[in-house]
Amino acid sequence: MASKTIWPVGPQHPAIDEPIFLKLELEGSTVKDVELNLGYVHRGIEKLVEGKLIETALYTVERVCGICSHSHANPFTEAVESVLEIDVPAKVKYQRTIIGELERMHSHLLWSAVMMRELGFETEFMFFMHEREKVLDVFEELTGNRLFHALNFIGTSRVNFMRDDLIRAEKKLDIDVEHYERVVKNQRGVVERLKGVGKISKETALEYGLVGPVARASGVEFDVRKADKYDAYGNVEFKLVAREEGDAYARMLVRFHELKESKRILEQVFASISYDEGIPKRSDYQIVEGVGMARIEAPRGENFHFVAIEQNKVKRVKIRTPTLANILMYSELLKGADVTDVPVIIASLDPCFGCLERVLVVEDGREENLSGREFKEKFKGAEICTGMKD
Amino acid sequence: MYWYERLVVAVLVVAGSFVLEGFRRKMIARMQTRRGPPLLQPVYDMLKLLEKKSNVEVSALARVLPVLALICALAIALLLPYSFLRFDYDFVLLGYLFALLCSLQIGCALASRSPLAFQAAAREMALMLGYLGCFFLVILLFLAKGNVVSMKDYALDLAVIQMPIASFILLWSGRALLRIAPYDAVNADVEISSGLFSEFSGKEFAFLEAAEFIKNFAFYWIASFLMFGKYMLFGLALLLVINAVVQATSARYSTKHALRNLLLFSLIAFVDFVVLKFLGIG
Repeated sequence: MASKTIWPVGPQHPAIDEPIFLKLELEGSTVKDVELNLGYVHRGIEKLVEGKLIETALYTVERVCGICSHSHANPFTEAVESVLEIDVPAKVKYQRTIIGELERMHSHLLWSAVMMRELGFETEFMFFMHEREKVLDVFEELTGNRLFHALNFIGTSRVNFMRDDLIRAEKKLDIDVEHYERVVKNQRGVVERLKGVGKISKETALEYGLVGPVARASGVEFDVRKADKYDAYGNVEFKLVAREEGDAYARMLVRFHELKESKRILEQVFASISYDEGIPKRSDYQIVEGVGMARIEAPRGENFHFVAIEQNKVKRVKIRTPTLANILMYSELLKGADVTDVPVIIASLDPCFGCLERVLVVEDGREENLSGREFKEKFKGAEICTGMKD
Repeated sequence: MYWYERLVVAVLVVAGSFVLEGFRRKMIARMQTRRGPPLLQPVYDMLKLLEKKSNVEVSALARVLPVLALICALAIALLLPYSFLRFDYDFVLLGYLFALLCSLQIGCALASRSPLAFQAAAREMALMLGYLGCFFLVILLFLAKGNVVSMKDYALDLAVIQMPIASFILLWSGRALLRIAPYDAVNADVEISSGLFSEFSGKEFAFLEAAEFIKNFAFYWIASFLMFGKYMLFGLALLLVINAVVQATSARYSTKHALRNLLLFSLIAFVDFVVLKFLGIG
């Protein structure tokens, strides 16, 4: 009988870009049990914004994540706009859509690069990063910054995209996704390492409430862009692709497909955005008391923001990120897997631990923000959604 | 061959191994649209490592084994067949030293008591089952083709054309010996850090790296000697380029997949040997 060993993965590990501590119990080379320990990048953002003015909170909330910064700024802004009952002009919606789709492309290209690196395909890693630079250049051209775009104001945009800006942007986005997809699909090493690995059935995906490309790769046909048609998504045509296999290979193909669809969406938006219409100036507003919520389709899935406002200051913000929705799957997927597949499985789920680190109080519903240690001491033995065991 | 001639050649081999490593890194970098490190970067790294103290507490065995690995690699350098000089030793001794070097590297990993190194050692042991047998079988094929029993009498030129299958298998299985893609599961840095040497630093790491470079150079030397004969220098450059291209354009195979491939190549090599030796075909 194979001996049992404890295999620590993290908090610093070459396979993981952000700190997380996975304690794997191995029998031979098979993972028997997984203990997931989080909390290394918890920054207390939800606590930080309490009592702040809305614009200051918006600045902070945008910094939940570097890869999907607009994907946090946007739902927060829309949640506040829902309190004010503002319907922003079409130009503002189109601009938000442009940045949202560019962010999706950026995220998926970065994911592709990281995945190739996990598979030892260093050259493709370099080429994907090279393509990602094109998107970052477009971000810099349009918004002045590569990562934190600060595009949104309540009811308007900080920047007004002009025709020349978008023509230059469109020229820079000559990313041949089909070529990279062909290269990767023809690589035996890639296909062999990804096919059949980390399988999630549709029933499991629905039971765990998975979101984003992970869910779509398991046959769950849900996308907030199609469901809610927020921003300009009601005016553009794009396909929602779901696959049935549910393995890491299917998740890769779904992301490649979304890259192609993002390009299509951007082409349509560039063609239909109005340059005659300007954007409204920033105006004062007064919120005595109000509660708003909004969700958008971030690159990793549904990102939900709840905002409670009092006297123009944030009383409470609750952020449910897509990685938080998908995190419970990690323990279940890794059990029974071969240890060599651990980095591949983790990477295929595209986690963003910076986004993920939230405190969830589920037992008595009192509003409290606790550190990881305080939380463990207070709720020792409780079943908690982060997957921590005590 | 006089002892001092052999010593001079060994020194040249050691120097050449560092330069070869530098060329390899540069070529791969260029294929990845990068500038790459300087050609002599392996030398600079080595000098830097030699002046550093090991910052990890390792056992006495883990301090001794890297030295033994380097001595073994230097012995390989002394015994390489040089087409323009006499080669006095039989291939069996050379093959033994290769296997010994790989075993010493595994021993280093086990002595370091790191779970990551243990994983790498397990992978290396599994792959050795595949590539060592394959490697020796193929070399025997070349010797059988040349109708000689010892490498000192081997005199085939451009055997790569006469024995394409054996040449292909030698080149492909050699990638497992060299630990390059697609057979670099032992050095999978995203899974097991630096693999066998993940717990080593300072002088011990320098010795292990030097042994690795010499081993790699020895493989290229033997392969080009067997496949190209008197054109071996051209062959060495060609093999280096081919391997660099394959490494740059390949993803990593899992250990299981790699072992399956290597065992299949061993079977093909064995059948080829039987056909050649006993049926006289090929």
